[in-house]
Amino acid sequence: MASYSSEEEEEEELDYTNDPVWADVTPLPQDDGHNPLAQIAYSPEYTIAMSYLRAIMAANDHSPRVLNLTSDIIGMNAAHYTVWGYRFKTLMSLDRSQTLEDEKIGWSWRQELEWVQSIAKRYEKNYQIWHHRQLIIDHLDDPTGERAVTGEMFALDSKNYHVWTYRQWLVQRFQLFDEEELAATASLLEEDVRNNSAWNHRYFIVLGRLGEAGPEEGVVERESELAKEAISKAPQNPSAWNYLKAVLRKGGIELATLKPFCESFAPILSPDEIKSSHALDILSEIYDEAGDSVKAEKALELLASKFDPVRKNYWRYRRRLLGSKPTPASDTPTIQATA
Amino acid sequence: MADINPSSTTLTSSEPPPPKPRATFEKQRNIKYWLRCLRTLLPTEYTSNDLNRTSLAFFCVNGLHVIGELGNLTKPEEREEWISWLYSCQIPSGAGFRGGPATDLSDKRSPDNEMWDPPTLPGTFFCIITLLSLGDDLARINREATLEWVASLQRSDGSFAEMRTGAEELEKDHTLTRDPRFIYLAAAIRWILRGEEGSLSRETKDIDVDQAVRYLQSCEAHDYGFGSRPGAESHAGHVFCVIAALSLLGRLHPPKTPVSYPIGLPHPEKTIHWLVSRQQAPTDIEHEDFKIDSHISPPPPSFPAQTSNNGFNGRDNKRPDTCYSFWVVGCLDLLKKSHLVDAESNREYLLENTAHIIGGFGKVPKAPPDVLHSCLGAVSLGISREEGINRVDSALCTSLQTRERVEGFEWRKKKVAA
Repeated sequence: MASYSSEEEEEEELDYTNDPVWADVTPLPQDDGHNPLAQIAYSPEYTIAMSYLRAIMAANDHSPRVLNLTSDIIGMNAAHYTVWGYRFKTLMSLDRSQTLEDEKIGWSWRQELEWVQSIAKRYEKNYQIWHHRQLIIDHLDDPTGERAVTGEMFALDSKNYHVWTYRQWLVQRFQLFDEEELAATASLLEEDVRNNSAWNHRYFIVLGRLGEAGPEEGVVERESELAKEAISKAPQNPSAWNYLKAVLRKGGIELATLKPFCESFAPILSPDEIKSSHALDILSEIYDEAGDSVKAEKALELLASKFDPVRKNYWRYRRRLLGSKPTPASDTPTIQATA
Repeated sequence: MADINPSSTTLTSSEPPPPKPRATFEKQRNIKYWLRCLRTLLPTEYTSNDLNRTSLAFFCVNGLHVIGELGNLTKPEEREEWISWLYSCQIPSGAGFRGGPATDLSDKRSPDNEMWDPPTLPGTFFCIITLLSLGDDLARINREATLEWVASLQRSDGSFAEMRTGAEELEKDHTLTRDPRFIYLAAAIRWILRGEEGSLSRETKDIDVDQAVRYLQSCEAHDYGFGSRPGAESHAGHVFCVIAALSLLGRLHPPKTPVSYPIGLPHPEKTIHWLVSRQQAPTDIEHEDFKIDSHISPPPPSFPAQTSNNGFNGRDNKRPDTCYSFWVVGCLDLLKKSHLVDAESNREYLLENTAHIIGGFGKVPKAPPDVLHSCLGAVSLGISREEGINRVDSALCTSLQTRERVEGFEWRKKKVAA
């Protein structure tokens, strides 16, 4: 029987019609009716493989040959959710009968994970691959090496949403809210301070744990310093500003404490020195909360007319809202910052 | 030039340059694009959408429909055949539609294997909207069975499964997908088929709306956007699903007096801020090494940023992309705030940067057109009432006419005893 492993062999075409392995299967062709919508120019290889898949699924066949068939189809359509589910069920059934790793099949969960990673690199924007990986790692109950696997993906695209979703699951499932995770986000932010996914993940690690009490001592200070440093390097980076605001909110520190910091990027009396629209935006809020409507209006007008004119309708809408601050939501208590 | 005759109408360097001609929506090219998609094979690259072929059907039919030409330029026989094809995707019990014919086990289908050929929420939503666009009245849908199947997909936390599959028993609670997309699709199907209470032929189990709303609210991220689950990064696609789902569940706009059930966005003004912040111009299309699938962060916009050709991105510090012109403006439209964006700048991005010479829209500048971006680009322009495009309904991503037809169906209205 053909091996399920190496990439070269995987590229080898399966010969369903002549290989005796498939001789007992009557392929089930697709019925597309008379004048279908959205008919796709399938490759002949895909058409044949899918006809065998339908026949195999109709018979609930979970024998080892299913691994060849499903990997063949995944190579042509990695977003085929049914085939991934069918493959996983087959793997589990072989695992339960303790035949997965015997000589005849010669496959293992580790080989499966390597193969999955090779597919992930070929089809970066794919959800199913990561869900499959998640099911396997959950079943093996062992996250060893998994952070490195996601790291390889971040080297290709450090904002890959599916990979970040998987990473969050990994952290939660195996309680990896640790120094290594913190260092990983720091290093990604070092590479690209505008990586919003890395900022979000940092928030998730440091402050986003559900059902947890307030942050530990020093954390809010450490994280706001990190954000402030990042802002100094790139004052127009929305990710760092959003992080800073969220950290303060979580720490119960009033926005008003940011006034000197923001004014250093946006002195409204010296518009030529303004370096950040985000600082102006926050200042308008701070001035408004302090009842200084003149300055608040000035900040919003600078945004509308000069520093962020594409949003001028929005900034003028904000001007109309001045003085009408809604009461703070119950989940964002404000307490005075301690010196 | 001092010696120029002041009465001359010739342009000279002392006069301002002529204004750039305003780009127009090339309707004829778009018609050609859609008719080609509808009447010839889609290229092999669409194979990755094979399991959601009904979504491709939706984009093709809806694309021609929102520009107002479906009824004029296709033949009644054609539309009948397409309607038949869509109904062939309905599973035999009448409780939902599969995502496409790829898993159809036809006469081999049995209670033992039907879990490999399941109805899905996307398949059901796309088939229903496409049927409506084609003029069908949904009479061949078993409303009660479909609604009960939708309700059966909901979990105790309020989230929904995309479908029931044969591998489901191998999942654990924490490995299940539970993103806002499936709540949106369930809410849309429910809105269309359920109608007013008491219009169904028998008592039909409903979804738990309160729990669905609570789950949607829990997906709010630290920057007031929404992600695929609690803690996930804000993403405009998920924000759309949250806002459109709340809208279709009748839970987007809180009434003036407090209510005892969950309603609305947790921080609506902050989410509006997040949404308008998505508007941005591409910053690297002139670069030599520009690649449409480049993963390197795009260079930041200049400061202050340019006012022309601002499309929308889906997350902070990402490139603008045609589809977000719909996901973002559609959200603001549902919140009655679409006037807060720069519609003219968005129009420039779509018509000057991503509209393609052969019709349709690409994902980003210089990209070939595809059916998703071509449809959503047109719907985005429809929100700002572009000439040549019908009025649209953002919640259902289709023409306003379709929504009004649904609202007028007698079978949706409560039967009043004579």
